Amino acid sequence: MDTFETVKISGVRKETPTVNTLVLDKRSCRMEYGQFYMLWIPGVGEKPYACSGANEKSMEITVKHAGPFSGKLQNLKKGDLIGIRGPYGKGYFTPKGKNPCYVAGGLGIVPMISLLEGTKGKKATVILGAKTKEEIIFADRIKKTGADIRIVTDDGSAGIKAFPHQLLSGVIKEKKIDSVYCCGPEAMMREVLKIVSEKKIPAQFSLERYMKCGIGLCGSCALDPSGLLVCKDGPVFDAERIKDSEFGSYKRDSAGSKTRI
Amino acid sequence: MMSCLFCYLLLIVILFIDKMVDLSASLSGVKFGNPTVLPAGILGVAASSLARIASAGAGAVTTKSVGPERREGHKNPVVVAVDNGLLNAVGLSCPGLDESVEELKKAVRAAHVPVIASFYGRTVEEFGLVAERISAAKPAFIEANISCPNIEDEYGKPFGTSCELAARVVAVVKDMSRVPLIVKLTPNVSDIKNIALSVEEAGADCIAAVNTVGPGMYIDVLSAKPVLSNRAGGLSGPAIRPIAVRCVYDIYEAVDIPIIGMGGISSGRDAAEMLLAGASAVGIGTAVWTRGDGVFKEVCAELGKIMEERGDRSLKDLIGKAHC
Ligand SMILES: Cc1cc2nc3c(=O)[nH]c(=O)nc-3n(C[C@H](O)[C@H](O)[C@H](O)COP(=O)(O)O)c2cc1C
Ligand code: FES
Repeated sequence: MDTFETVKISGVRKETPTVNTLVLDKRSCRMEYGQFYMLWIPGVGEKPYACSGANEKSMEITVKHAGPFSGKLQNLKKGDLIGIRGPYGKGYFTPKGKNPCYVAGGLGIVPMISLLEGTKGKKATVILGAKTKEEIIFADRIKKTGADIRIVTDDGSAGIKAFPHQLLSGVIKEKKIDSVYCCGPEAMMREVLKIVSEKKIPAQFSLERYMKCGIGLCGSCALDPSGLLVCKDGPVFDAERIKDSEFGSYKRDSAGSKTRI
Repeated sequence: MMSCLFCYLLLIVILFIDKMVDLSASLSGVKFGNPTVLPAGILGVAASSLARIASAGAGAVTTKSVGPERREGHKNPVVVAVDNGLLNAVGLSCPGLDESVEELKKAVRAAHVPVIASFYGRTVEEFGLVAERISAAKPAFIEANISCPNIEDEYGKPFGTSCELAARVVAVVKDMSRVPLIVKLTPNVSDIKNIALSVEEAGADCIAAVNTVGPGMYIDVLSAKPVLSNRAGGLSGPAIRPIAVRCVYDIYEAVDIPIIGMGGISSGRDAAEMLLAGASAVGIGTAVWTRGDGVFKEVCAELGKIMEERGDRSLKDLIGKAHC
């Protein structure tokens, strides 16, 4: 029914001062683009993470130090144990169009990188946003796929000083974009949703909600008003499915209480 | 000629109706389109989830248990899969009473089936207070959860393990609310008949049984750590069905009020078994994970077939029929 296993960390790679990639000694199982895993640090806690790479021998998880749990996850070393269950989610990224545009903010590129690398033949454009120059991740991996990369930073220390969505309309026109993939802070994704809805371009979004069970039972990740579950029906949704929803305006916390985005 | 044709059509209609089994259920005067119920704590956080499960075919839906104040519940991990079942220790997370009542009002409006409002308190008085507040949202039932096995550290042993305490909760709640009251029982007692009898005598309108079994534990061998943050968690799913069936069988012998039977039901056969044991309706929780939210329609279809095969016309022909 479900696969829970404990595996060893076989390596750690520094991506930026605040971001590490953990290599897990796990034989890769079949996984769709954008699905997620629940990661357990024995005795500490459990949270959902996307996979940032996989081959026959191992899979990778890319983690930013954002709170107590991710801080601990980041500090794990080669040989440490980690519990893993998944992959979860029936909503995933599906390759569409000839000229896709990826819109990523912060660590948003992580769940999308496998799709980009797995569909190299396309003329992809990636708008890659970060707070500062130091926090840009995966720029080399993106370039290797042959994609056109547009870097934006909040402070202008690299690329253009802008937020990712601010470049989207221009890129759509210039590159004849026919599909959009988006992941990042929800306020940014909301703006992207507005643009693609207006221009009627098919788009997919990877969502984040507080998850407890990850298997569609506890209800903590439900979206109003459809009742779609981010853990089970997502985490990736087509634009139409989340257009008239709570997405972009509020989400529920660990107690089930609504908080504004 | 015309009248002949009419008679023929009438005959077909009558034969058809004759073959159809009636799956509608009635509990304490409340009508359910079918006997399947979404039990407490399964997808019941948001009204939108309850509406979705109602549309997916459940005969009634239950909210996540509502408490007197905000609670985050236990830290993750709160679930771990085991052989033929699931251990959970969500720990009664709750956004607080005000927000819960608003969400409940929405659920009553959005779901086109009876809504059951599950609730709990830390003291007998709190049960009364919460019952009064949620009753204002006009659910079809309120359901006192006196049986959660996962919060013993904070809340003491569940009220459901003592006849006297269980009866006091019921008496106080009946004082504060006129909405029909379901009392949810724990199977983790030596004599469930006595508890059932106590809550019936104290005025309960209906019994839901059972809550999760145990609690149990799952230890990861490589790290030598229990996986659940709460260490222990309640067991649900197919593994507990024989216990649940026996509990409902015992309760049926002891009381006259209707029972919502649950614990490991995942097929029409399982539902029929629970009805035969004495349940008037059946909760389907963990099977939502294994079979998806189509499980309610599927179980009804399977149950209908079994009833046809047995020659049953309505649920009455099944309920309690395992007792001689
Ligand atoms: C994840 C989870 C959360 C639950 N939360 C509650 C709850 O808040 N209140 C309650 O009375 N029962 C709760 N239960 C118990 C179920 O309502 C049900 O009694 C039990 O799971 C047995 O049925 P099943 O085997 O069909 O799941 C929960 C069960 C699960 C699996
Ligand atoms: S996390 Fe429990 S239903 Fe999605």
